[in-house]
Amino acid sequence: MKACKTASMILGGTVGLLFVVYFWNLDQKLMGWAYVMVNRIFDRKKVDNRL
Amino acid sequence: MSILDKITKNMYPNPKFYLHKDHINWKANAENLKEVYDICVDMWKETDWNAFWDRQKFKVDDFKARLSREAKTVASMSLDEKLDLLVNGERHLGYLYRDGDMTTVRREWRGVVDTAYDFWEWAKMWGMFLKTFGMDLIPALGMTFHYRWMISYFNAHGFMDKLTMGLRGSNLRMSHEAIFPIFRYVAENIVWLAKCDEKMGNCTSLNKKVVLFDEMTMGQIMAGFPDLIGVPYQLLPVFLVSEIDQLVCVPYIDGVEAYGLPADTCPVPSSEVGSIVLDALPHMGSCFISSSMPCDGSTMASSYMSRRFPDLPVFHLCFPTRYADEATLDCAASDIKACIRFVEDVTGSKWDWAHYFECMKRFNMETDYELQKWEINRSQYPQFIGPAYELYRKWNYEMDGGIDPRVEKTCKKIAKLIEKGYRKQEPAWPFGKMKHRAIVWSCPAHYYANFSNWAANCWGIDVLVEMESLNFTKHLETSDKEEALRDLARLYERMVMRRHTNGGYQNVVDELWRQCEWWDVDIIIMYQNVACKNMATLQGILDEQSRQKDMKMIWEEHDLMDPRTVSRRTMRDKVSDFMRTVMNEEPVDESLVDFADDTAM
Repeated sequence: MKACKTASMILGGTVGLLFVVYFWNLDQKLMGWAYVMVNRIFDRKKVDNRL
Repeated sequence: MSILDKITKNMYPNPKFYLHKDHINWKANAENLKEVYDICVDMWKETDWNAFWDRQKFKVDDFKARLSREAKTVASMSLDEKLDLLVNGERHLGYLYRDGDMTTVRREWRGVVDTAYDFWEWAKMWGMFLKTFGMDLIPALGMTFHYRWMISYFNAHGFMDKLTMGLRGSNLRMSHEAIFPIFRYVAENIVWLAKCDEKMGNCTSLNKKVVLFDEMTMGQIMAGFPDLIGVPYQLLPVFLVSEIDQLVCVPYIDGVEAYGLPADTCPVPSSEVGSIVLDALPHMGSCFISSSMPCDGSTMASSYMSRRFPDLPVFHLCFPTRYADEATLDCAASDIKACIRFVEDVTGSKWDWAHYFECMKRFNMETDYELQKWEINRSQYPQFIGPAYELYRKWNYEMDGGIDPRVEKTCKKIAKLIEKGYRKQEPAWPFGKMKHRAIVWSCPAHYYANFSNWAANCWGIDVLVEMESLNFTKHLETSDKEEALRDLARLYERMVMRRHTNGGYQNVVDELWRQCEWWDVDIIIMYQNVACKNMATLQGILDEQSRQKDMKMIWEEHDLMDPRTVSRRTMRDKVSDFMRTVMNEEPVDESLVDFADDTAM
C-alpha cells in the first residue's frame, strides 16, 4: 500500500512537472535559446565554401 | 535465410540498418568540437552580462505582468464564462506571441480534455525523438556541431503547436495523428544521415545501401528495393526544415547570391545550391537520383551537386512535360526502367517485384482514404482541414508512397475520426470560424506553412484543399509488370509542382475553375511566388477570368523560402486588408490581426 502511494506520488509529481514544462513552453524556450546560440557559433565557424 | 533476417523481415525500418558499424573519425570530430569550444569561450568573454541580466529581468517582469493580467481577466469573468474557458479553452491566440521571441510565451489552453490530449501528444513526440535518436545517439547529436540546420529540428514541437493552434476535438486529433508519422520519418532519416555522413558516423557499409534522391523526386521507386534505404537528400537540410524554421534558408540564399546567382531565382534551387556551396549537405550515399522537378532551377541544383560530389554517380530522371499526352508515356517508362537498372548496377541490389506490388497496394489504399477525405471535405461539414492535413498529404504522396506499413494504421485512425466527426456534424474549427470555404492555388510559402491555420483562426477562412494535394489518384497497377512501369511513369510525371504550375495553361488555369466548382469555394488564396516565372506569366489571365466568374481571389505574394522579401506579417496584412475592404468583414479573433513573429521560428 505504501509502495503504491509512493509510486503514485512519484508518477503524479513527474506528470505535474512535465505539464509545467509543456504549458509554459519551457522546452521550446530552452531550444529557442540553444537555436540562437548555435546559429551564432555557425556565423563564426569556418566553412568549406566551394562553388 | 538467417534467424535475424526472419525476425526483421516485416519490421520497418529494418533494424539491421541500425546495426551497421560506425567508423567515426574521432580526431576530426575532436578538432571540430575544439573549434566550437573556442568560439563559445570568445562569445562568453564578449557577452555584456549587465545587458543579459537586464533582459532576463524584463522577461521575468513581463511574465509576472502577463500572469497577473490573465488572472484578473479570469477573475472578472462570469461563472458561465469561466466554465466555458475551462471546457472549451481560450479564444484570443495573438496574445501568445511576444515581439522578439523565438517561441510563444506559453502553450494554448484548449479546455481540460483537449489540453490533456495535446499534452499527451507532446510527450509522445519527445519520447519518439529520444527513442529514434537513441538508436545511434552520438552521430545524431554530433550533427548539431557540423550542420546549422540540425538545431532547427529540436524546435519541432513549436512547429507542431503552430500547425494545431486553435484546433479542438476531432480535427486536433486527426492533425496530431498526421504530424506524428511525418516527424518519425524525419527522425529516422536524420539518423541515416548522421550514420552515413563522412564527417560523423562514416558508416561505409550502410552507405552502400543508401540511394539519395532529389527532394522533389517521389519515393515510390524505392519500393522495389527493400534492402536499400531511399533518402530524399535535400529534404532534411533544406526543404522540410524551411517549413519548421523560416530563417534556416537565409544563409544558403545569401551564400550562393554572394557568388553571383541572380536574386530573382526561385528560392528552392537557390537554397539547394547554397547548401551545397556552404557544405551543409552530408557527404554520403552510393548514388543520387535527380530530376527536372519542380522546374529548370532544379537542373541547376543537380549540376552543382555533381560538381561538389564528383564521385557520386548521378541519374537524371527527365520525363516529358506533356504528361497528359499518352504518346509520351513510353519515353517516361523507359526512363524509369533505366533508373532501376542504374540503381541495380551501382548497389548490386535486385529489383523486387513482389515487394513493389505489396507497397503499391498499400499506396492505392492510402489513395482511397485520401479520396474519402475529399468527399467529406467538399461537403457542408468538412472535417480534416488545416496545415497538418496539407503537409501530411504531400508527405504521404511524395515521400512515403506506401513503403512504410505503419502509415496504414494512421490512415485508418484518421478515417475513423473523420467518420465520427462527420456523423456528429462537428465543425472543423470552433468558435464560429467556419465562415468561408477557400482553396489554395499555386505553390505555398514554406516559411509560412501554417498560413491556413492563421486564416481560419483570424478570419474564419477555411482552406478545404490546396493545389498540391490534388495530384494523381489513379490506382497503380499491381500485377502486370509492364503496365506497372507505365503507371509509375504516369505518377512520376505528376509530381508535386509538376502536375499544375509546370503543367501549362489547362492544368493550372482551367483546372482551378473546375476545382473551385467541385469544392464549392467562395475564396481563392492565390499564392504568388515572386520568383516563379511560370506562374507570373498567368497572373493577368487569372485576374481577368476571376473577375468574369465573380470569384474572390486574394493574391498572396511570397518568396517561398526567404521571409525577408515578403514577411509573414505582410502576408497576413494582405488578407486582412482584403477582408476589411472588399468583404467588409471584421476578424473572428482581433488579437491575430497584428502581432510580431519576424524573428520567431
